[in-house]
Amino acid sequence: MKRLGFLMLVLIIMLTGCSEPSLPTSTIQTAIGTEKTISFAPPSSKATLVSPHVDARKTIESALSVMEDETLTKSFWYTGYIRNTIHKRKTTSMFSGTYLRPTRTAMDARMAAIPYRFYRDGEAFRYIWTPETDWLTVKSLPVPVHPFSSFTALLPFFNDAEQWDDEVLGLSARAYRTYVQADAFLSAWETYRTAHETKPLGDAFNPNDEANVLKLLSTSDILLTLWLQDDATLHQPRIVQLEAVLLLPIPAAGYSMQEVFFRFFQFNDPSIRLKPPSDIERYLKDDDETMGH
Amino acid sequence: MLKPFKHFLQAFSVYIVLSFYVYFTYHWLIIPLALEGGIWGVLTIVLGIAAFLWIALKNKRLPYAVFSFLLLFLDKALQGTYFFEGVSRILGIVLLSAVVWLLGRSLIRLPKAALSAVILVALFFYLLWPREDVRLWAEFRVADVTSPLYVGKRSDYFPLYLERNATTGLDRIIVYGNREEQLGQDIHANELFNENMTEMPFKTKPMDLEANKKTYFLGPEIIRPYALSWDHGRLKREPLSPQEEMTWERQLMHDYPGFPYFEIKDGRYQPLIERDALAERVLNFGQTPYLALTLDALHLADDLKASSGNLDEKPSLLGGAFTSLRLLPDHLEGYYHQKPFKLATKATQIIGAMRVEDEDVLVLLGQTLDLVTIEKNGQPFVTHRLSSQELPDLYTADYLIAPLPGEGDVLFLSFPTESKETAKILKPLPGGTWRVLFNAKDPLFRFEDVRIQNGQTTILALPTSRLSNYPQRYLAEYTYENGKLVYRWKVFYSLINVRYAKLWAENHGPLPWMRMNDEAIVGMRYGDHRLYVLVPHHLPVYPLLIGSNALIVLSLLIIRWREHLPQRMIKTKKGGALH
Repeated sequence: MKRLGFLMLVLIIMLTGCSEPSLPTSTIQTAIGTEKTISFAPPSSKATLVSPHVDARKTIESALSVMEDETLTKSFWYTGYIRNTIHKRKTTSMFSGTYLRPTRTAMDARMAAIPYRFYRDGEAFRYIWTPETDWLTVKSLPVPVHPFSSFTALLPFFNDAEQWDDEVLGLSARAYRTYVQADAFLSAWETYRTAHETKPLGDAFNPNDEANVLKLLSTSDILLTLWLQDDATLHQPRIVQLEAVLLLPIPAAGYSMQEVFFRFFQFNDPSIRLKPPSDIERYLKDDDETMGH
Repeated sequence: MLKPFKHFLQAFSVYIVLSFYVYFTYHWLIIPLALEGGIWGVLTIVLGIAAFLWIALKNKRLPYAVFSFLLLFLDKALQGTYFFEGVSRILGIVLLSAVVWLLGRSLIRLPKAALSAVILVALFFYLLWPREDVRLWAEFRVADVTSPLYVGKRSDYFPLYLERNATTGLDRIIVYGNREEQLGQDIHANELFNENMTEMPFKTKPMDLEANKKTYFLGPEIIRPYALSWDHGRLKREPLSPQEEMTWERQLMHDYPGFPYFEIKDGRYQPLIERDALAERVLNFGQTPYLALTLDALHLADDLKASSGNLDEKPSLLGGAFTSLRLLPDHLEGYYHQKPFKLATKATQIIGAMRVEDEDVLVLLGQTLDLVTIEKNGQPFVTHRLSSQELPDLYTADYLIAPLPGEGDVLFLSFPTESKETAKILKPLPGGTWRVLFNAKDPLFRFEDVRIQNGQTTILALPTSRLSNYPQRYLAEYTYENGKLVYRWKVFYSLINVRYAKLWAENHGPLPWMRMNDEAIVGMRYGDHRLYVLVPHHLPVYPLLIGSNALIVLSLLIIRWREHLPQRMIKTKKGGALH
């Protein structure tokens, strides 16, 4: 028993001679000659494939009409992120908040991990809070906001989709998933850009740069998944989740995995109440001339 | 000298030595044992302490236990004072010391000399070094630590490059910073003791002082490549020519900090979109994939423009076998032994070149990992390919090429933290297949650097501990023996971008009077952009520590044995309560 202390010290010496544990090693076959180079995991660990080819446009459209209808979808919670992984570097932006129809929303957000809050009630009342500034009036040009009709831009891709049985927040859901060709996605993106993005985002392209980027991005891979869940009271499906995975070629850095994910929940929850703009305006730290909203 | 004072001084010196012993045993023995041994380590510690207590004399157990506890408590508690500034911090230090004094005096009347030693030793370490630096000292002398080189909040880390001077054979370190530009302070700003060494995440940084600000715009931030070389025992910033600055800025761009929301352009780290504009556009939820792609495309357009449309380029590989390599969006072109070649490929990155079965091979990364040889007729040919079918997430992995003893050139792969894949060593085999030589069990394990010195290959890597699932990486060095990675050493300290660097000439240590052959290990501390330069000190720390513990156990045993002898056989001896 008296030797126990010494034994402990011997053990330490033994520990310093260890090697790093390795999983079983093996041989990997070559990928030369195989067609598909990219593989995606199922929508979730619980998902089971129901059908590899369905035309999901009608179903999604009807779900969209429920979401767009301001009497059927009066309010909801949303949460989501955009995450980029390039080699070991990961950059994440996060957005979560409540939406009260017709036009009021408050959001807690982070852009590349930099925190802020955003409040919007139509184009007239837009405020931002940052830890350094408190509430200020937003100065950027307003863009129209249509939380769900914006999904119609994705609809054409679901003419030939996989259908999966899956779960969202513990309830059964249907996942529709489609692999989109880079060319098709890029042309839909161009429509979006010309319709929605002028300044401050769209002015940096000159034709030559744009051609170079389009050539580069033509080797991207895109995977879109929409999750639909039946509303218990309406007996109609709602859109409850969106995921887009974009594999993008990145100069001198392999490919980037970009994940865009949003989830919608607690529809028409009576606890969703949002302060009117006048409540925020009391806290505004703007100069006097910008207080005029 | 007054007799009581002399007596106090004698006792005090003994307690000082004892405090150092407890301090180093805790940080160098107990902490590593707990982290490395996992549950068995913890069990060993518990048994070890139990054995110590069992061997010690009954009436001495409590005083020594309280003495050790108070020292370690104060060591840890003082860290909390970093939450406060100026006078409040001094008050915090005084308050904690007073609590320790009162506890020691009122609980079991520890001698004043013992409590003075506890407080003095705890303050000594607190004031002079960040608490965790002590863990580095088990293997290294910290030859230099800079102040935070980047003082903004936009990025947790930037890359670190080494540039070897062809004539002197010495490296200089290229990192990104703005301390001098933003604060007008030197990279070794005079910090009072270790002021700010342990930065709290929410602490106001100087950048925010421009706050009071009435704007939420993130705006541009100055950022410059800093070239640091070794000069009279510390790092010194060297001026870079505008041409060099441009080259390094392009390198930095390829690390993509803040992608796609921020980009680096003309010495500025600037947002491509402001926060309000992003939030409002995100509300069109169905169009968020297009919004994200718009930001990507804007960023990539500028990247391509800065590199004249090239995705990647390498002037020379394998000692000039491959030259003028240029990778464009749909093909690779270059020279192999001065003969031009061209290969259609969707790769985006030239990882490097290696020797496989006596052939020169190019390693390219795109959605697949490709090895390319140039055949005798000058035509490039893909000999090996891996896709994400065989190895998921390979396109976001980091790659190192280096030879391993008995295996020749191999690839070291490290995967992003979220990936389910673990780090691997891959060796290409004839016939296009690959052998996995090592397949890390630890999901966070990363390879950082490989060095061949005096015929020995050593590998710098970042393994985790075996105690918890907390994603903390530590620093370790390995050798490759019989298909295994064998520890040379491991320190429980977290650094990122760790490299072997040749900062001083051979037979010149970090200081002029040091004649030794050790090269430096450089690395950044995550989150606060401090650069560390470490030199192995080769002191037998563990044998000394274990030896001193063994001596203490031995003397405790002797004391106990003497206690058991009839009292008249021992000469009576004077001593304080703790003797």
